[in-house]
Amino acid sequence: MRKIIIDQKEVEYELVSMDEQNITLRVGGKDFTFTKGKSSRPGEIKLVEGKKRQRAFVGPGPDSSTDVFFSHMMARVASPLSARKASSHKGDGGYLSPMPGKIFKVLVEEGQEVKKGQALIVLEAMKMEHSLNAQTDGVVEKIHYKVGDLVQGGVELLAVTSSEQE
Amino acid sequence: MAKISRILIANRGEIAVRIARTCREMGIEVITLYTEAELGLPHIEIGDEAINLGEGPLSETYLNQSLLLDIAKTYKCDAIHPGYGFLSENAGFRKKVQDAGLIFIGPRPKAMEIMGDKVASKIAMEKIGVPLIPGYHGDNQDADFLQGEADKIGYPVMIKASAGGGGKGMRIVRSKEEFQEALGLAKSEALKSFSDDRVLIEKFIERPRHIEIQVFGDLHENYVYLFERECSVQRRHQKVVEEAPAVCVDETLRAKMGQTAVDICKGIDYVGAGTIEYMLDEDGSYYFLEMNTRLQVEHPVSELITGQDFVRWQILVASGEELPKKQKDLKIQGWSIEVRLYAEDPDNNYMPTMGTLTDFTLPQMPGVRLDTGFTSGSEVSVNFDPMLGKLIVHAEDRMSAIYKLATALSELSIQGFKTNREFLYRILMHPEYQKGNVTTHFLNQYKEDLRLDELSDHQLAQIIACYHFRPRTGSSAGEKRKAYDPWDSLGGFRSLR
Repeated sequence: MRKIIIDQKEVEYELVSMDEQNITLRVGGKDFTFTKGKSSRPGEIKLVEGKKRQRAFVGPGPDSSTDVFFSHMMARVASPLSARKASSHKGDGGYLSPMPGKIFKVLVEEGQEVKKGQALIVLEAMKMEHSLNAQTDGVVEKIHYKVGDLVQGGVELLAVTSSEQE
Repeated sequence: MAKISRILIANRGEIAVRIARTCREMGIEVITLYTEAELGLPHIEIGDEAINLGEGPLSETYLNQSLLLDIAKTYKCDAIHPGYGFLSENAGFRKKVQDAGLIFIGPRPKAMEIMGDKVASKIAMEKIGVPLIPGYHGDNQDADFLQGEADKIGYPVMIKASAGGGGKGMRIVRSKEEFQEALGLAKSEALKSFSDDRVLIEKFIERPRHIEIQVFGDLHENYVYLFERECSVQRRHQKVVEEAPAVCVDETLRAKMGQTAVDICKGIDYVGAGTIEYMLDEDGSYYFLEMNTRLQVEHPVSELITGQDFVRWQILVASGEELPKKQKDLKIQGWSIEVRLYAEDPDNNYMPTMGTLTDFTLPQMPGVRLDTGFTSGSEVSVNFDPMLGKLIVHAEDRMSAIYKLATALSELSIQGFKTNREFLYRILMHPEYQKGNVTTHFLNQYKEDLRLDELSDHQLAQIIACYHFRPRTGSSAGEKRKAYDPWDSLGGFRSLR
């Protein structure tokens, strides 16, 4: 059984057979066989299934993921390994960007002591400023972005080690 | 006649690129603007000269009136084209441009002022005899009086809180008998929500369509209409799919709506390109909503069915020439549809998306036009409008246009982050859209159909197959797509003399 992450959900499948041109997959107990047709553009894949042909574009997504674009659907695919690496960047410190945006201000430095409620970083998104404040007293361990960087929603912007007693 | 030989485009993105193209065709020089945040975008490269507005909020860049006027003067421009949005409907700026001895490519200030004011425009339209949505907006709040007004308007009617918004204090009344009870409920809801129980009554239109008429006027009191566009597929007043002509408009109605539009232009001495927006009821009644006193985002569909270049018309009119065509010379040829590509995720509550467009390419196809201000490699940030471009097709008839556009969308590679491309494809493939059964409620009404449900095993298999078939050479799209460079193949030849 193989595992793969599609749009943040883990999917199990079996690679029954694969060569340069053909692939047979078992998903949800059913077998699906596809042939790779001739494509005329880089990044384009013509997926042939029986008599049906479908065009897809395949290109790199963020954090070593792969984006697959069909005419009517788009999916972000990641191997469990690269997904784990990416999620270590996401962390659970809770300092996540609330939505995609641009880093507008970084108000602290790595190693700096911060007090609970202190503003750490300001994100500019949808024409508004969103400030991330320290959830506890602690020390800024790592700042992942600098001013002007574009960030996706849900990524960790910085890590703070709490100095409060558990 | 004022000769225009150099134009400042006081705008950015796709509309700046589009205006510049026509200027070049007409032998007119172009000055474009940009900000620090936009380095590398196509609208910077398209002009004869590009001026850096620096950085900061819009009020210090694209909306900085005195800075724009200074640039226009310094670079000896004869005219300013405002595009759409930004300062295009700002009567104050319009006057300043004129006072500076420059031509503003747009209507006179008076017409902009009238149409810029919701109340003033309705009063002016009433005088001209333009149909408005029947209603009572007055101060008399007596229950029996209001009932009388509702009876006069005819049911169904809508009771709305005068101070309202967001659907609070809103009631639809379908018969005379229901009116008093609904009025009571609406008033108490209005009082609770807005501490103001005044209400207004309007005719309720069950299945409204958004139909707009493209108009043009010149300085010699000539006016024409360039037929209608239907923009019913919209979300919170943001248009998504636009087409011309409209399925629901026949010859008679077209002539009628067109004549009303021309009457409006005459009534306000309109000059240049404009759009009259109507709400169309199923029975063929139509009501004035507003007039946009500028070139519209969706103008290409009307250009394609009439075979005219509206930016060229705007420039000719601004330089004092007569309209290039008379009404009788204008004919509709074929069908045109436009979709707006947005950096947003329709499957996730339309959340904005952004990042680097690692690939943005469309093969050449006859009858397909892509108006955009981005290119492969462009950064898309949250600083400006989320519209990535407009994909427009022209075909024999509506069905051919739908399929041509669907094909173009499936050939369009737009990578790097999620966009509404796949959602647009699903709209075009929806049976009710294909039948032309569209109202302004379309996207809401068919939300379930248009949403991408949980992926089926079959779809998952297709995705996984593509994943395994993905090209392995080169780690980035840029590397993978590196174009063939003829200079590379010259080799030793270059050293030969």
